[in-house]
Order: sequence, then structure tokens, then C-alpha cells
Amino acid sequence: MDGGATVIAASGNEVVQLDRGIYASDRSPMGVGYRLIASSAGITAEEKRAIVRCAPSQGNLCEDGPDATGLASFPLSSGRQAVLLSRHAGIEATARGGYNVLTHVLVLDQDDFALIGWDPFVVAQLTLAQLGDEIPTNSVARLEPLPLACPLDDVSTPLKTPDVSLIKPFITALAALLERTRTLITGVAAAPDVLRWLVQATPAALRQGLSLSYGMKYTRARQFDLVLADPSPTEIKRVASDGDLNVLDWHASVQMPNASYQAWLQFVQTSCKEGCFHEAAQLANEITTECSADSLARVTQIVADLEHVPTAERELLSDLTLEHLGHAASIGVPRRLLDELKTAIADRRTQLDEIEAAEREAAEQAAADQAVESPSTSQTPLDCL
Amino acid sequence: MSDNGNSTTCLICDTANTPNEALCKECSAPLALVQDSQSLDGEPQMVSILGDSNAGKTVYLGFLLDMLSQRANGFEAVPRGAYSVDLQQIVISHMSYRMFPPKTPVETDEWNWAYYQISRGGKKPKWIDLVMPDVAGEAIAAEVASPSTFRIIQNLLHKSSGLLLLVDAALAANGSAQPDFFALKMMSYLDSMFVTKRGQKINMPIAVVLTKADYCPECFDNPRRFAEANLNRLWNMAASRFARVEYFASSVVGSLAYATAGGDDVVTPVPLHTALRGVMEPFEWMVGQL
Repeated sequence: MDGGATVIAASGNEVVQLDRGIYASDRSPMGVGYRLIASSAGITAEEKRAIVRCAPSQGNLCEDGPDATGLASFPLSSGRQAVLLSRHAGIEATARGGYNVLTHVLVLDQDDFALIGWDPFVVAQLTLAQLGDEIPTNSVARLEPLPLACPLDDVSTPLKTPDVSLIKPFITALAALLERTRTLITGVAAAPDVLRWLVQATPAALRQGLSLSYGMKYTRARQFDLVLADPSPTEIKRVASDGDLNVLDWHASVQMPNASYQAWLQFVQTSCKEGCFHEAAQLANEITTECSADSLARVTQIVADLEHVPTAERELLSDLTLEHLGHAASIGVPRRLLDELKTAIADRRTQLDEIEAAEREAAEQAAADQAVESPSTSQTPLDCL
Repeated sequence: MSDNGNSTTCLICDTANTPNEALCKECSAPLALVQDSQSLDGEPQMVSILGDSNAGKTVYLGFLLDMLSQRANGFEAVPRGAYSVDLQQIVISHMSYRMFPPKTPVETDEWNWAYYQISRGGKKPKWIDLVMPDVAGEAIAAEVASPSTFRIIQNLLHKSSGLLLLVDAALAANGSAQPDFFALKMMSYLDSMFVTKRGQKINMPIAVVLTKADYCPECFDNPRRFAEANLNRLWNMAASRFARVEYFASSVVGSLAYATAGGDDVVTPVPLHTALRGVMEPFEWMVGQL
């Protein structure tokens, strides 16, 4: 297998090699219709089978217009990750109505996917910047792997904060995603944005192995963890009969979930309300290990307590020290946060010491001033005689 | 097949499904087939329509079912379940507007399934329950190229009592080897599926339907000769490994026009009117073989 080898570019950025393919309807000497018309050598037969089953064909993008797009990301049985980027590209080859659904297929190792934060939108961004509207011509059957330079300090550009009116359904969907409850979300107007928020709000370690899609019709072949699509009412009824699938109407009034990852959900919700979703996304990107509900609860608690430190009194500082700094954190985000907390507490203590010292000095000065003034005014009656 | 209230066993892949599901969770075949066959002593028979993409499967099957519904050639056909009428409605409606029906998607849960009870008139009519799915040609090609891509096709073929293999005669007559190669691959796939002893032939009846034969009228004169001349690989394979193969010519379009939008490279075929020919014969032969 050729794909997935990571090299370091001269610039110092890491370069990941993606195996790629193109699935579309094509008329060529080898046949007509939807198939993998070209692929790089590293995609195995088993991977091709899975891709052919999942890639959208005639009329299977949710939108009807020429600008329809779709994205799917799912793990393959080989252990690698497939990312499908679909769009309408001209008329279908047999001209029997409808657009040709062109799908760029990208396959990468999980290690390389980890370098990109397990974010399929980053893969899409980097890929489309290179490929654009490229469609192979002259029946090119073999493609070269695609090298993507991966600037690690800018792997994921956070989006603007979700609108306040969307926070409830967003948190409900996030809860389902974290619990890996298979969910179909209907009625989402800006599906790419919403799905990207959901991915960015999910701790990076929990994104591993996740399967999701937007813009592609729901089918049994695309039974992903999270699907954003708009089936017809009849189709929704049929889909809802699938006992394993949870159907969520984006615009329906939903109760806030009582889920295992409650603390993390609360943290994201607060971040959204305060207009700093990007901070939650940044933190989520950093959490690449240790992702149980308890560890996330601990992380969010430390973050919340860090915010209190700059205005905390000594008693609170002692409580925080006892609560957090007594526990050893091995690696990763908890360790970094505890180090920050330790530094912040020390700085605050120094600040308080300085304040108290200044107050003491001021008090002493005031007392000294008082003492200087008092002898001239405090005459005894005998002295006056 | 069983529908014991706790689970429904799929007619195609024998997977147990919960009773309220509409499609099999494994192969996406409609579970209504099971419910509609409850009154039978055994399972309905299956006749699979196979062929390359754009060979004419949807149009052929749609017209066949419509002719059966109209009691052509003395047949009586009763659809079991409203879903069985979807395919013929799609085909007839589109053709009446001078349009070919849309391409069958590769996604298995979008395929049309027809379940009909059919009999030939007579003193003692014999009723046969037939299930005939309209399968996407690309799915067939993908399965043949890489077995287990679409297991539903494997399962369908295992359960089929007969096959109608549609081959684009117009392409073949024009010198293209594509239809012959596809048919050869299809027959090889069937050969590998049905293990037989050396020297034995596979007994499943196969009707090779040479579609779009209006392009090559000589196909109607002698379909066997046409196949031997233009689809020689298929001809030889069929002769070597299959005991019951018959060749038929078929056509549904009376005249065809070609339309382009201004400045567009795409040429759209427009069926100006239908003139059905050779649609019933392959089916009649198949029913006689069952």
C-alpha cells in the first residue's frame, strides 16, 4: 500500500500522502455509468468495494441544483479513513436526466488523519485547494497519490460562533455524537457549517473512528454515526422504523439531553452563549488523548476555575490548590491546564502579597503621619497655665 | 421465509429483521415481499433481470409488467402490493412524455421491486408468484468485477429460478465489444456461483434478450445467428457451460430523435413513439421453463 506515508517538507510542515480516486458516471471504452473511473494504486480492492457502496450516485445529493455538494467521512475495514467530497458536475453521461454526481475519494491512514485533527473538513479544504474542478480526461485510470502540506499551526480554522437560536439543537446533536448514538438530523439550513461546528466541538480523540455526512441522501449503505439530510416525510417514517436510528428535527423544540458528557456539553453551551466558541473548539482540538466523560469534566472544571483565579481571594486559592494540584496529571491537556493553574495561583498569591504589603505600608505610613501630627495638638491643661 | 411476529426473515438474504422495518437491514430488499407472500405454501419464485448499465432493463421490465397487467398473450397478472406497480408507472409515464425514465441509482434501497401473481389462461390456469427486481447495472458490474461488493445481487442470483440477461444489440451491431465482454463476465460469474461437476452444465434457464434491436433488424430475423456473429464470446460461454439458454430480439422504441441544448455537448436521446416488439417472448419462454 502506497498511501499514507508522511514526510517532512523542507519548510518544516508535515506532508501527508492521500490515496485518491474519482467516482462518477462516465462513458468510456471500458463501460458506462457510475464507477470508480480512476484511482491511485494504494486503494485496495476491499476499500474500493466499501467506497462503491457508499459513494452517492444518480440523484443522491440532497439538493437538486448545479451547486449541490456533499461530504462523507467514515472508517474503512482496513483501518484507514475515507473522505468523499461530492458535487454535481455537468450532465450525467447517459443523458437520462439529472446531474452527474462527481465524488473525489480520499483515503488516508489514521495517523495522518490525526495530524489533521481527525477533521474531514480540513481534508476537504486542503484537497479542493489543490484539485479544484479537476476531472480526469482520456480515460486516465491511474492517479498519483495527493500530497497535502499540513501547516500544523493552522490545521483548522474555527468558524463563527453558532447563533443563540441554534444552541439547543446543536447541543442535543453534539450529545448524540459524543454518545455515538446513530442520528439523522433533518431541516438543517446550513448543513456544512453545522456539521463543522459539531466536529470542532467534539474532542479530537473522540473524532477518531467517527462516520458522518452532509448533503447526501440517507440510505442503508450510508448508515453513519451522524447524517445531515432531508428525506421526504414518507422516507422519514420509513427511516424512523429503523430502531437503531435517532431522527432529530433541527427546528423542533428539544429538551436538553441528560448525557454522560454533561460537563463538556455545558462548557460548549456556555462558550457559545458567551460568543467564544472558538476557544471551546481550540480546546477540543488539543484533547487528543484521555477522553472519558470524567476526564473531560475535570478539564472543563479546571478551565472554569482558571477564570476565577485572577479575582480570587486566598481562601479560594487554597481550595483550588487542594482540589486540583493535589492530583497528578500525566500528559496532555490536563497537565498543561494544571501547570497553567499552578502558575496562575502563584501569580495571584504574589499579587495578593503585594497588595497586602502595599496596604500594610500605607497603613504604617498613615499611622506614622498620625503620630507626627498628634504631639502639637495634644497639650495638657498644666502646660497651658 | 417467516414472519413470526418477533422478526421478519428477508426473502432475499434470510436476515432476521424487526417486524416494523420496511427494508431489510442487510440488503435493503423490501420486507413487504415477505408479508405479501404469507399466503403461499412456499416462497415465490424469482426471475432476475440483469444487464450492463444503459442496456434497457428498466424500460424492458416496465413495459413487460404493463403488458402483463393488460393481459397480453393470454397472461393474467395481479400485482401484490402497490409498490409492484411503481416501476411500470414510472416507465409508462416517462415514455408517454417522450422521455426515457431516470437512471436507476446504485443505492440498493432505491431499486424498484415487482411482485406479481401470473398465470396463463386455460382450463386449469397455473399461478406463479414472481418477484422481479429492477437492479442498477452499475451495481451488477461492480459485483461481477469484485464479488461481495453488493451481496444482494449474489443472494438474488442464488434464489433466482431464471434469468433474463439483457444485452445491448445496437452497440454490438456497431462493432463495440463492450456488450459481449459484459455478458461474458456475467456468465463467468454465474458459472463460479453454481458449482457443478466437470462436464455438467448449469441448469438455470437464461433468456438472452438482445435489446434496442430496432437498430439492427437482422437481429429479429435470427437472434441466435446474430448472437453467434456479434456476441461470440457470450455464445461460446453459454454453449459450454449452460444447458438452457435461448436468444430473443426485443425493441420498445419505434423511432428515436436526438436533442441538444444550444452550446451543450450533451446529446439526449428522445423516444418519439413506442413500438413494442419481442417483449413478451422471452418472458413466455421463461415461464415455460419454470
